[in-house]
Amino acid sequence: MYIISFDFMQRAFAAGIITALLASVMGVFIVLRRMSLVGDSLSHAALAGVAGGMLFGIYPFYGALIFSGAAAVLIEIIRSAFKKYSEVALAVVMSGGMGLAVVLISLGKSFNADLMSYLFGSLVAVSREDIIIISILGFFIIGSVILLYRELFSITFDDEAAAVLGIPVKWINFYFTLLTALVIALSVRVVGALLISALMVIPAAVGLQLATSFKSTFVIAIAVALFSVITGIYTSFIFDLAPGGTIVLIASSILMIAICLKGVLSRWMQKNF
Amino acid sequence: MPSKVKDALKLSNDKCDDVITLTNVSFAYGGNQVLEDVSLSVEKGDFVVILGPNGSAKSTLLKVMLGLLVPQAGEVRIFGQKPRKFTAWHRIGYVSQQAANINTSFPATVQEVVASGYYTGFGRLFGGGRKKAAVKEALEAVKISDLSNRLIGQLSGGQRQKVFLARALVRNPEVLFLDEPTTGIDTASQQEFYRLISNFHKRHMTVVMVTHDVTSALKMATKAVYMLDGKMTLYKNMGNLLNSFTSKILEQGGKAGVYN
Repeated sequence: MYIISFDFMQRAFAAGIITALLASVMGVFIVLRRMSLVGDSLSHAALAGVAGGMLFGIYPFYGALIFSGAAAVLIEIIRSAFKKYSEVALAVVMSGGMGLAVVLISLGKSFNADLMSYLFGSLVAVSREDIIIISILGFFIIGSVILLYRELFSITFDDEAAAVLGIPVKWINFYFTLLTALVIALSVRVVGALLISALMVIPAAVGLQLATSFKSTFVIAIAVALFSVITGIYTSFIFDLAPGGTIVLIASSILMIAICLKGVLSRWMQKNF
Repeated sequence: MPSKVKDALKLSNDKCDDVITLTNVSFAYGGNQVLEDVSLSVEKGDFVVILGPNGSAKSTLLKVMLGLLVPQAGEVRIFGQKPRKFTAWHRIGYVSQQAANINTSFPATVQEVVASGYYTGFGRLFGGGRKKAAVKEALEAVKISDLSNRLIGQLSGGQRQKVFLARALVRNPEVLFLDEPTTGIDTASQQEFYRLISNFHKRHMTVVMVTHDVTSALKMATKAVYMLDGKMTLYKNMGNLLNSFTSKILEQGGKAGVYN
């Protein structure tokens, strides 16, 4: 465990652990609401924001935040115009975000190498400033989810009944999409724009496979995300691999194992939880 | 006290027996008129059944009553108030049609689903004791206490409907709205479900139910609403209603087939 003694590795682990926690918690709701592609769409927009930020000299995280937030609003607007075919919204924002990113990248030819770190994540490049932002916003996001847990559960489960319970469904949906955008913008640095949605969706998918209750879905998803991120960072350092990709590969392997062992594992869970 | 406020108080007192009032309500989906000039009042203690062929806007009528859909013309009052201003949602229990189509792999236990109905407003994280008691009571009321730790995906259709009924009952509502609650479940479970509803009605709960099941519905109803092509007919005398329904259905020829 000597690698922990490096400053940059401590920062990498801290950023990774917070991101894993945020992505997996949001991921459970996102998967259950059949919005798995939202993460992908927003992360492409975030990438355009990073490129825009570099071009105009804004700290890339803020660029990512503004663009993914705007994309979230855009998704809701397009979604209400195509009620029955709401995935149109996701496709439009995803390709639009990628298009914008490519144009912005071609405008600022000099920063290609730096941009690569946002495409595939660059944990070792996480700065002290990044850590502070990630921690503060991380607290805010987790706090929001805990406060709105019952509202989010009801809306995810049956949004009509949720409205009759007196829950302001529209506003909470909107707020939730903004929180998702925030998580994406935060995570771009860690796992990269192309892989963040995997970190949201895969741990939640494992949770769904093995869950014995709604709460246990979260426990499993968080555990899978933390395990993948910690072992991913460690092995990628030892074997000099890309950390983002390694994390996603570990998480996917866990999902495969969970699907294969579902019967065995769920019996074990029932006994022990 | 300003006279406006006094008038408003007087109005709400006068109307205290009206649970829901619709006055000349019309509703359209896009350009497609589905409710035309519908007026109806649901009073305390009523058991209103809404009947009609498929696509006759029965569910739409129910959603308009609940303020889930906003009509283009006419007025809706829930306990004397406009739906937008209405806040006392704990007085209403609702079993949506959506609930029946719920994704069976949703990872929630019976306990969690029923508890989600005990919603007391933003940010109230505490008060768990009362909530627990309410959930227990609701589970007992529909006789599924033994299922409380099961995932809803592991239940039969009839059991699942009882879970949704328990969720609707957990805040002890005065009125219960049910949207085709027995569709797709076996006859024995249907009869058991109706017995439960009928008992709640006898204990002074107001019930509004959309259903296809004419025979069972009319045995329990105090008012029947028959929907056809966006227009409604109201029946208050249940005596000869079954006969009159039969002849009405015969008049419509082919559409009769939708009744079980």
